[in-house]
Amino acid sequence: MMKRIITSIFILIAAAVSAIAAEKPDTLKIMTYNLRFGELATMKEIGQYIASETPDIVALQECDWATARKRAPHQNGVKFVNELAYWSGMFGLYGKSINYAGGYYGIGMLSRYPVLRSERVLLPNDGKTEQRSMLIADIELPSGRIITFVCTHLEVKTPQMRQEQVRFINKYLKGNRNQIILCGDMNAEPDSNEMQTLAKDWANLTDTNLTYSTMKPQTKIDYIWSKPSSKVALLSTHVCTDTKLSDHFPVESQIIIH
Amino acid sequence: MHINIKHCLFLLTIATVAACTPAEKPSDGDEPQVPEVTLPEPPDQVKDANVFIIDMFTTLDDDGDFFTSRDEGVAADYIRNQQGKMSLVYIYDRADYQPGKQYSMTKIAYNVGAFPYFAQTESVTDGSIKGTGMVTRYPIADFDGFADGTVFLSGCTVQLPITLTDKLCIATASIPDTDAAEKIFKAKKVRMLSDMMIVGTVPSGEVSQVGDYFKSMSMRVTAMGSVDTQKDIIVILPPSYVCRSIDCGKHVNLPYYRIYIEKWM
Repeated sequence: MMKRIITSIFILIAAAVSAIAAEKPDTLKIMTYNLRFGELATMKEIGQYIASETPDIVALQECDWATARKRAPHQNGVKFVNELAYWSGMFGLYGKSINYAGGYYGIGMLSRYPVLRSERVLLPNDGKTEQRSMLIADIELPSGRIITFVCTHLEVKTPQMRQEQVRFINKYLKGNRNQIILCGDMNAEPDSNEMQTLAKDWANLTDTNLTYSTMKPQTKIDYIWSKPSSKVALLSTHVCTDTKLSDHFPVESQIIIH
Repeated sequence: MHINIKHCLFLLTIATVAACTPAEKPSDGDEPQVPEVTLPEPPDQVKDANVFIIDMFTTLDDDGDFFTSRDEGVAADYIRNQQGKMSLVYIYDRADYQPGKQYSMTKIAYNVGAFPYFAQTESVTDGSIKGTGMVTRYPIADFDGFADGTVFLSGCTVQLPITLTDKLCIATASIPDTDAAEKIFKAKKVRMLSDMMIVGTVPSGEVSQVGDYFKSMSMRVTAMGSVDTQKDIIVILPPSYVCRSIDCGKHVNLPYYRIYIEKWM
């Protein structure tokens, strides 16, 4: 009995310490950026732009890995995430969605802090549309808190498939107890059913400014979400309209996690 | 500093209930299980086609960042000019990382068109973080690891150049003692007994105890060090793999150990 009481006291002390630690807030600068397979700029230009914005974590969409894509011959053979990591001084992570033109096409991530765990998960697909994926990474912050960062690029053609993908993401991440940040090109406007479904559980950490296209801005389809929404607050957010290195503007939010 | 009172009260309740619960026969559900089998010995004959190589660059001393006095260009040159069977993974012990600064592994990977990875061996800070760097020729999305604030294990899953289906998580860890070894095995025992190997370091004085611990858990263990270094290399493998040999060498001023592993079963 005495042994169990002592053990319990230890549990209590450890728990109290964790409760104190859990109170320490983390401030993060998050960016999401669709690169349009590098058609409009070099990785050096994009990497240096990202570095100049000093984000902590970046979600990247439309990333090639050593393709011979005809529409971007200057990027042939280039491993996007590697080069961006090199020029930004961050860690790179790549998630293949499909084989393409002798290489891979997919999504990526840059992180200022090391990745503890990660996985690439394929999203539902009806076989008629392009395969999409999400890239999930657990990242330890200097406070000791571990967050889960998710990058995705949803289906472009059919709202029904996007809705299915949104439901899948929600279901897949349901048991995750970390603060989750979900970023990407959702190919859906804020009042769409898909984004309304996300808004039920997730805090939208972006504003309503237009993110696409850089030549003629007419829609908002790039987002940063987080849940549980009670633990996160938005400090600032903006669409980075000062750059046209892609057909999407980067979106950047500074958040605080309690 | 603000204490979360609700959190504390909740945990106090749990602790009180735990204290008042009558003692029962301890459950061994969370304890590492020792399979009740004797490990079959691999054949003496090595099947070259089933052998893959891992290169670990290390001084086997905790003497600061490996690349403080060594050049990433030389490391890239080693990978680029490797003859014969290529190494599957290149591991760099004490390739530390400072957030916001360009990482040595990123530079190597950029130069050879490979993929870099950082396996932290201490908690993240804004200053320099001790760790191990890894470079592979594959773009990797699947990393696996374990961290409890003191013990860290981290690795990436790669396709083995043996068959089209064999994948293995190649992990690294700095294992200070048997307590840490136990934590690692407890957290990852399922994978460690099937498809995760560890190439790490252990203080020389602890290597025999740590090795014995993993052997008692049905893992295959090989260690190598020298009398004048602080640490030994330890290779911990699932039963279906065997470490055939470890050669040591030096490329310019980069000391390395070449580890030959065979999937024999």
